[in-house]
Amino acid sequence: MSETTTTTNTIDNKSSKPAATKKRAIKPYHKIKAHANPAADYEFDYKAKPSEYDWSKKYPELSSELKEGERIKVQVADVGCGYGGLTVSLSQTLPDKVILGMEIRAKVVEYVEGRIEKLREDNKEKKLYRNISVIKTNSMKLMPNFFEKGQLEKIFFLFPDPHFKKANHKRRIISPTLLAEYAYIMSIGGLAYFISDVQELYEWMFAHFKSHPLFQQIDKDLALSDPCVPLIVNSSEEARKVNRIEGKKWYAVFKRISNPSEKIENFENYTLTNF
Amino acid sequence: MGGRKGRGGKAKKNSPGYKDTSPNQITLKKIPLNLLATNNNGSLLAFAMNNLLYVLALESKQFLTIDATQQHQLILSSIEFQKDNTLITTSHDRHIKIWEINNELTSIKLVKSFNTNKKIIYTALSDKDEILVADKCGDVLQYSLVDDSKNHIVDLTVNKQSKQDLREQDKNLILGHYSSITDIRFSRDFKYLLTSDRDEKIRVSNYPNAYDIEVFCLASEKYVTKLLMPLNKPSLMISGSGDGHLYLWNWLEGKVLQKLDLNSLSKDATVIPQHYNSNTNLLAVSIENFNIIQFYQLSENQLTLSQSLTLPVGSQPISIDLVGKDQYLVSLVTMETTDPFVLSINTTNWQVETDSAIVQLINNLSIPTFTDSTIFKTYLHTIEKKQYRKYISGTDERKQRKDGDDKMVEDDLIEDDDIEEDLDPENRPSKQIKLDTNI
Repeated sequence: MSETTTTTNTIDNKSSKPAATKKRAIKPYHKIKAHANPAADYEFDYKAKPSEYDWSKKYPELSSELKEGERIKVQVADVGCGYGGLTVSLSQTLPDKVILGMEIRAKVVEYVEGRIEKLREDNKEKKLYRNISVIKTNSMKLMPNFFEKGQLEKIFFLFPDPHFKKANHKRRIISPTLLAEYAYIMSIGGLAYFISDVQELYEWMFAHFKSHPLFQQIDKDLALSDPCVPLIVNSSEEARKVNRIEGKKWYAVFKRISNPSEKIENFENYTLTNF
Repeated sequence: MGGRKGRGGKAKKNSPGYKDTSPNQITLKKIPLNLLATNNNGSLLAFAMNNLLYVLALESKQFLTIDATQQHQLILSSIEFQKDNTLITTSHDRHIKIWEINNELTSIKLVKSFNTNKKIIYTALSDKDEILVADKCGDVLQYSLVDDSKNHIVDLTVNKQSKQDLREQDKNLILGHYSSITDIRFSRDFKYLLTSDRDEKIRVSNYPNAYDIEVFCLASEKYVTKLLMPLNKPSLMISGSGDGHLYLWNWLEGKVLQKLDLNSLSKDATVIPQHYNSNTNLLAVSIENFNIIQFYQLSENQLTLSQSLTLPVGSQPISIDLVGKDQYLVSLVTMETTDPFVLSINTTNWQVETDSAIVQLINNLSIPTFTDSTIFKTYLHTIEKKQYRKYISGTDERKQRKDGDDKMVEDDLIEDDDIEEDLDPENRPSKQIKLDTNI
């Protein structure tokens, strides 16, 4: 890791603290690329089948309390978790769920790993933050390698890369063909949350969820009373970045339905915003 | 928000910076045959030589006459008999062609030809006069062979819409993988569609509702090469992989029933299941760059494969099909002009033969002269569809870019302020979140 003068200073300041307490994870020294090409072949740690993946290394405390023959099963996925703002907040909001942040950029994953480790350490007695973890992966290719059919109860797409160029639209995290894979890993009745500060991208995601035969937007009062909805609007770093510039946000929640006949005809689809 | 700039470092195929780095550059002097196909009643054999379709009447041992101007422009991607006298071909020239053979089996006539605007790589015929086409981007499109109104094809010479717009609005798109597709097959009852890709996965989708994925068949550690669906055992599927294994599946349950290691035969074997004979339960398998055909016997009761025979055939097999009840026809990689296009295997005595009438007829075909030497270079890759198993956007490109990775565009940055210090939940200030809604 190359270090610039300023970052070296930061390290010195930190290391002057008592060594016994775990340091807060600091934002990686490098400026981090905001994009990664999902079509490229990066190195990922994954198994051919979800049942072969060892989740105990990700959730050590939870797995130590498992009964014989039980396995950790992730129920909530934060796709493109970035610096982990939502993943961390969800830990308290959904204390009984196993939550996983998924991120493609290695340095960001390192940061989130450190952040979670520190949180667990600081809250050891209260047994907090044991239900969250992060993996470096490509969610557009490898979802079926991590999750069984119908496994996820909630899936979050927060401020995904807009990929403005038409030629790169195929790299967007939501597309009709990828929605089929997300529908596969989601449980019937499971919820998909998405938000963007780019209207064009929001409309794209909304249109695809709306026209997919296995997704139905949930009723507005249900969406407004959902405890996760405030979190998608304000908990992530990207969300705060938008707040800082007083930007607009568009968001919606869709439900996985078991078959197209459940799709409500003449449903009045709506958009939630922060303005 | 148009200010973001692409990195633009991509070396395009024709740009001076592009180097073909494929390790085994083979110089072919003769183009091999591929895509052997026979019709159900066994009266006809079809195959391709580059862009040319050949059909042979097996009884009379005569090639059917075909109007040369009706042939495809580029290398063929698939040949499938729809009925005993109807043939569907597709090609890299983006066309689907429907051919009809006269009752006397003397000539073949083009009935219909249409441009899909897609580079067609793999195809499968449904039971309802539809053809499913996998293009090079991993998308699967469905076209009707009889009803043009169902095929939403835009005439690119008239319509000036961009390719991307067309893709996004394509009504024929029924499913897609994020990586290249390496094979596409229907289950025997046409209720499921199986698609394999270069990212190790075999996807089982419902059909026609392909947006509803039934299960994934996961076990391969490298790309999947080919799928075979034994007609007499509808619950089984056979797949090969670049990881050197042959897999026997209960595909509807996504379960591996048997995994056979062929790496002992050839290091880093790329296993290609070529042909399954429903009458004898014999499976023929080839291995890339290896001059043998390996036969396996599927046991009737236990549903397991056991190795039965290894036959050296002198060159690498490309395509295998059954001609008649007891003769396999094998097309081979040809290097020199004297190398045979095909040979046959007599299953009564398991002898490799080069002197049967059909083999001689095919081997005496005149070798077309190609002026473009690049055809020879890429031909083997193309007929074996190897490029779709390789990486889409190469890792080389990534290595080149590594140095530039630390550079950033300012508006992409998350400020330190955005990363809130994690507070003890009890001390965390309760956030007031205002929710305004807008229909």
